[in-house]
Amino acid sequence: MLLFMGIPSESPLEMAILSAEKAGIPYLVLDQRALHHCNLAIGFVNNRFSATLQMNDTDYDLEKFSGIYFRTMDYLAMPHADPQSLRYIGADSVQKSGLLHQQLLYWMDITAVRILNAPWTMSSNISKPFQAQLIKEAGLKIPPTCITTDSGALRQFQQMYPALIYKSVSSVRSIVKELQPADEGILHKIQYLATQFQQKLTGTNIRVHVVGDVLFATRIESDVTDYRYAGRENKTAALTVFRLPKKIEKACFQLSESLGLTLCGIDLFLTDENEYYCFEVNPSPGYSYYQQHTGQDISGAIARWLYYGTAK
Amino acid sequence: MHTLIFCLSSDIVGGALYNLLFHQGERNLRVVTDTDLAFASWLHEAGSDGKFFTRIHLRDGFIIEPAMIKNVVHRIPYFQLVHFINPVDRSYAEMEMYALYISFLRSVKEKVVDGMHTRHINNTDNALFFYAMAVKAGLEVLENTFTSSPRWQQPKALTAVSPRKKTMVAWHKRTRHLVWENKPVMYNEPFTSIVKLEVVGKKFFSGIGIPEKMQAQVNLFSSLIGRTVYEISLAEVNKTYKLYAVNTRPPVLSEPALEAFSLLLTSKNKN
Repeated sequence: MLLFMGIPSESPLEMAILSAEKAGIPYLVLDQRALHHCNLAIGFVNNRFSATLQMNDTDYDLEKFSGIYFRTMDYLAMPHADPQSLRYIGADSVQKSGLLHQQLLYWMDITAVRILNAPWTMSSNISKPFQAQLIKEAGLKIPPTCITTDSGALRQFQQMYPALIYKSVSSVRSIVKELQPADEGILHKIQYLATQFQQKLTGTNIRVHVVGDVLFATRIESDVTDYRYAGRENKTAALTVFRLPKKIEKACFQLSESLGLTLCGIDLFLTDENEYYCFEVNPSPGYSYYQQHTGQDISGAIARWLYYGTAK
Repeated sequence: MHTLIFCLSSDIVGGALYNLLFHQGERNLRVVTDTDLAFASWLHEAGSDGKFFTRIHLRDGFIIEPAMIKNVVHRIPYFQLVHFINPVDRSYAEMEMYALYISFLRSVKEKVVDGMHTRHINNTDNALFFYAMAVKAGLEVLENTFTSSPRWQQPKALTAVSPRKKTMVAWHKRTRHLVWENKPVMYNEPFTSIVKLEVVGKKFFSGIGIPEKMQAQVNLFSSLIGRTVYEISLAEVNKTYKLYAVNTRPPVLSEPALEAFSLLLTSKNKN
């Protein structure tokens, strides 16, 4: 049986649940908003480990699930944890929910059950340049990068790479922007906090989703710097299925393996000079956007990999 | 070539380690605090070869570059940038600062005690991970159970079994929302005392004698968790010692442990 954890109506989770349903794979859905109605027992007795989830008055041995797909949100950021919200569940329940979330995450870090993905493996995404070093070690190119508080150092970098973009260093989501001449007036502000600049490459975005032993590549045609926000600029992004060269496919699998991210969204870029670069790897990819536009069966691959151990 | 001790301004171990090394004659030493890093001028750059180079220019003019680093002791778990007045800005700035710091450490990982593994990024010590690794290493683990439901409690308080009787189930359905259910509790096997065991490389410091077999198990445990300097809390149960907790960043270290730590750094320097 599979266990799906998160908010069931959230697209990536919903699509994976539907795929399991279609494939006749047995599953259980754990809505994290109702976690305070569940119970958990995790521990070591006589040096033996056990983990039991109690849901709707049924006990489930967590170690007996064949796979788990989790896309839990920060439970404290949900309306249920906000005393000002009509959906507030009360301090005791919030505390219980928090502890259960934490214990489940801890358990997912040590279990042998197939998990997409073990929580610790997602940490590399906390720092983009940290992850970039792992990307490079896996054999993919990363764009020239300058993270600095020093506008003089930035100008030197700009002499080598005149067109630049800037974005966050951490996993905090930021809209990638091109550094414009009009930004000159605010560049002195980087002295307060190091800011990440990268060479702006020209070419095409390729998004790759690795699910265990299969891979889906999507080509994105868009005029905007950050295609995820094309709508905000009244622009569009056209997504089509793409075939990667074998060498790049191999590097993507290697990257997924070296990061321990069996499911990941790899942001590649194919330059006009026909070179592949990797911007970053998303450890909990919102693949539904790509699946909806291309028909690639990513959710089916997730369900298959979790249940059978192969997504083929 | 310098030994750099990165630690919080209030860090006792960082300060004590500096003093010890200084009195041993080591002069190429520097304590670099979170505040030093927050107000430093940073350059963390990768060119077309993808290799990161870092230059950190501290307020007093001290410059940190990879070529001048012998060793790095890393004891900064987070940054508190209180000079960012707006809480949202502060939270963002703290995450950015930490992301930059760990990337710098990763770029000089061979010089960092314990390197900079992805598993070390999230500073929350996962007790279950330590228990699982301890079991793998052959160490006895103090029996424990986290349970969120009192109806799973057994007389001995340690086995998590739910009653299966139909009447009980019906009753539980009626009472599932009661407040008394919302009290998650961690149960531990009763123990008589807690003993601290400081681990520094393959050296052990404790108020009790550590048998050879257990030493080998702790060595294996150290390699499984990827830590060189840390502290284990052992619980005494029927004259045997079981692993109770692990602290990868102990707030204090005994004098012998500190000396072993300094030796670890100086012997690493010689290499």
